[in-house]
Amino acid sequence: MARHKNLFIAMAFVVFLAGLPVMLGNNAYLMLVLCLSGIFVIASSGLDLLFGYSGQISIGHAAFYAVGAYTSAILTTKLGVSVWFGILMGGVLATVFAALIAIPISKLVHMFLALVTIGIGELTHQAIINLPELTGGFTGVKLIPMPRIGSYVFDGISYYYIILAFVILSLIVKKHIVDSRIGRAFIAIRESTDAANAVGINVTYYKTVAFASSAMFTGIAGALYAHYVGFISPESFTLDQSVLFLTAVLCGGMGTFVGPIIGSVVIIFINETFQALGSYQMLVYGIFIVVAVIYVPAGLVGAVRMFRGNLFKVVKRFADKP
Amino acid sequence: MLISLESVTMKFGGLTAVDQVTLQIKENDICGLIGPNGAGKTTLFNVIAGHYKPFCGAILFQNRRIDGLHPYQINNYGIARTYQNINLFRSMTVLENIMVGKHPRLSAGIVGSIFRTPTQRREEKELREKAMDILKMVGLENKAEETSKNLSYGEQRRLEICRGIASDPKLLLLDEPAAGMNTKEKVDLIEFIRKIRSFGITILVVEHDMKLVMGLTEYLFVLNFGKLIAQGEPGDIQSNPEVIKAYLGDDI
Amino acid sequence: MWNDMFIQLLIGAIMLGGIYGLLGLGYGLIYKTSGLMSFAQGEILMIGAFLGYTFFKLFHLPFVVALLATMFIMFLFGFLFEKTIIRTILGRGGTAIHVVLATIGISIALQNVAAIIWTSEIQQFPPIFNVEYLEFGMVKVAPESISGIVVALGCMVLLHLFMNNTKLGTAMRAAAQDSSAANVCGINVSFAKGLSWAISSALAAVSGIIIGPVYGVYMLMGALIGLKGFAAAVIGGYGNMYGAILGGLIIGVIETMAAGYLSSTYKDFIAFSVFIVFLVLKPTGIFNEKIIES
Repeated sequence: MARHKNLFIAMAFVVFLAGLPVMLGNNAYLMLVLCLSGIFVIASSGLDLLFGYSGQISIGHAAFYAVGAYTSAILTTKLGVSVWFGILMGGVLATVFAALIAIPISKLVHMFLALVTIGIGELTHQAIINLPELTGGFTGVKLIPMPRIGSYVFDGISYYYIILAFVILSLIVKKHIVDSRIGRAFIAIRESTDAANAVGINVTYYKTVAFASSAMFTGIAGALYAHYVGFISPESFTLDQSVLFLTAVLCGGMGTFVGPIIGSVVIIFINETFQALGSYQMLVYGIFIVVAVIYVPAGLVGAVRMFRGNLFKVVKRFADKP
Repeated sequence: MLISLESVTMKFGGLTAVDQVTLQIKENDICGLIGPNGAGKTTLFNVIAGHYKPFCGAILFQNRRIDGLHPYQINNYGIARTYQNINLFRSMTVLENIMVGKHPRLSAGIVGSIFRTPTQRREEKELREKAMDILKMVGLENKAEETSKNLSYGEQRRLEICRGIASDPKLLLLDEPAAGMNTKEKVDLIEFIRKIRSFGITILVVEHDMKLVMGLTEYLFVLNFGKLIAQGEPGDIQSNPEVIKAYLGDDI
Repeated sequence: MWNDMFIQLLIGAIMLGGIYGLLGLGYGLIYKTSGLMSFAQGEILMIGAFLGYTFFKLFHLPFVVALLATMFIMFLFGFLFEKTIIRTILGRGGTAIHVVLATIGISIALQNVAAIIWTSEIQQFPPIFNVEYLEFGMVKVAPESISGIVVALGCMVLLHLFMNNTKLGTAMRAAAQDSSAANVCGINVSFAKGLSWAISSALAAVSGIIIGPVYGVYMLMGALIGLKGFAAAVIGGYGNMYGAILGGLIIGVIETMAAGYLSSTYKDFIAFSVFIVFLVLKPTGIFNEKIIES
């Protein structure tokens, strides 16, 4: 019963999202926020798989975002492949990259894992800058095309629907992973590596699977981003970007489906709305992070759950009074 | 012999926690591992389960050497364990803990899980049913969807044992399963362990409650300062002067 | 020619290594007493540099006064930061990763406070000494580099003496080794934690004043340096004071020599590669500090 209720709510929400562009009257700014939010939801859901479910911290996910973005951008601009193939390859390469680095680093935990992921993020950033023949260095990659089918080009509002489709697809895939033997292994590893080992889970293997599948999401998001903005440069793939992903996950609610969604929308909204304020915007963002961490450590989802729980307790106590 | 240890030694720096322990356990026995605090019982468990690689010595399980293997490999071969301080997956539900216990006996991989192939779906369905059957054995089936950290202490202990037998092990290592239980729970526990044995599972239990040990086990190994100082049937062990000397002042 | 360039580079490397070491020292101190990591140290360095610049250039205070005043202010800042924000986070159920994120938030806030107060342009320290260059044969060295090395060295020596020869320092070492045992011995572990954050901030602030006169003072100066401080701590053995200094020198030398002999665009790539190699192959560092491993 509960399962069907959630499905119904989700479907209603999807219909709402599909009709949103019309309702918003094609407001360019709001469409921008929606599209970027969608891309962010995919990217941060990937990070949530790794951090929220398998308990492995990454403050370097911008590396996978970059691999996805640059792979698709380079393949489509330099080799003229179709954008669909580019996005696919972006995801594939990000996945392979993550699997390779996960093998040696998965033995690290907590702060040391955080440090090495920061290192990987920085290294990827430096690699992009130092390979100008491939990546265009500081000047980046321009004129990244939009996807097309035949002669129909998916730009403007139709790209929003592409992003929406990918968001729905990635959330379904996330659900399939989480509610499976794989997902249980992830959570077991997060709760107790020793006990996970003792029940027959090959911890190193599943940690690597977690990294790889997490990167798949973020890599595809990166590719979608590249085609959306049409121009990418190393600036978008720094530690700041990784921090944005982590903030979305942590402040939205780790290990949930709705958490990364809420977190992403809030982050994008803050970033885009206060863009014009320059330094003041960033100051607000910095303070927001501190406040969010202090007041909603379990994320907005956790805060709502606690609120509902407390509300229930209050109502019950009131109802139990003679 | 289901499992035999040959001169197994475990050192931590200068401390020898397990000192040339040699023992064999017959299939389908319920054996006990006893000894004063700090005798090395849990360490021995950890060595058998693969958490530590022995400093020297060999462990043969079903004629296969398992010393030095990873814990998950040893679990795959058929050894399961529980912990002194319950080590459940606390944020998982009761049912999920059992389901994850069956992990090594399933075959679904990442591709099957993402695409929800018919094989994977069938496997998950059967898994749920089998897990519920296990819960019914201990009367926890009504709490299947309860988060495991909300269970009472006794229920959590039972759940952990259930998780251990979920993978159909041949050997079950129980580390102080009766700790914190009242008399009735201990009686139920003895019955439960005998039932587990009737499934063909061999059991090695570490316990401090002597009455429970004497009533449950058929063969005892006594450890002191890492050395095996005595082994035999419970009646003989009770009157063994070495054992009494080691335990002076312990509970009866 | 080669020898002179080498010596010139080496002096720069030692100075850089010195401040990486000071930062690494701070990281280790915080980790040992509270088990946490702070990502705000780079920005504390930057604020320290700006404060020193303000006192020295704008208020015309003598350099030593500016230095001490900055250290004192950032010392208090570190102490208060731990007592208020860190304690609150931990008290409300936050974990280490929450602290990490909060310190990242603070670092972003500090960067932009600096941009608002001092603008985002590079500010230059006026010369501290009367000579522009010291000359040893063909080697030209800015006296600020030498004084920087001296100040860094001085701080390390003072810290060593404090930790080993004073009652408070010994209490801190006890709290770092085993906080419950220290508590039982009557040591105020809570104060020791606050003190470790305070000292780390002061060290970061000093580093800012060392490097400010040499490279200029600007809003983003702390970001990469902060990360390299982590590299110093890891290479030496995370938590080990002397390891941090050694690690700092290693990173400083590798980075400067790479910039001097290969190309300055590769220097960060190489520095971070070394960092990652250590984390993967020898996370316990040169002095073999215990770390939590899976």
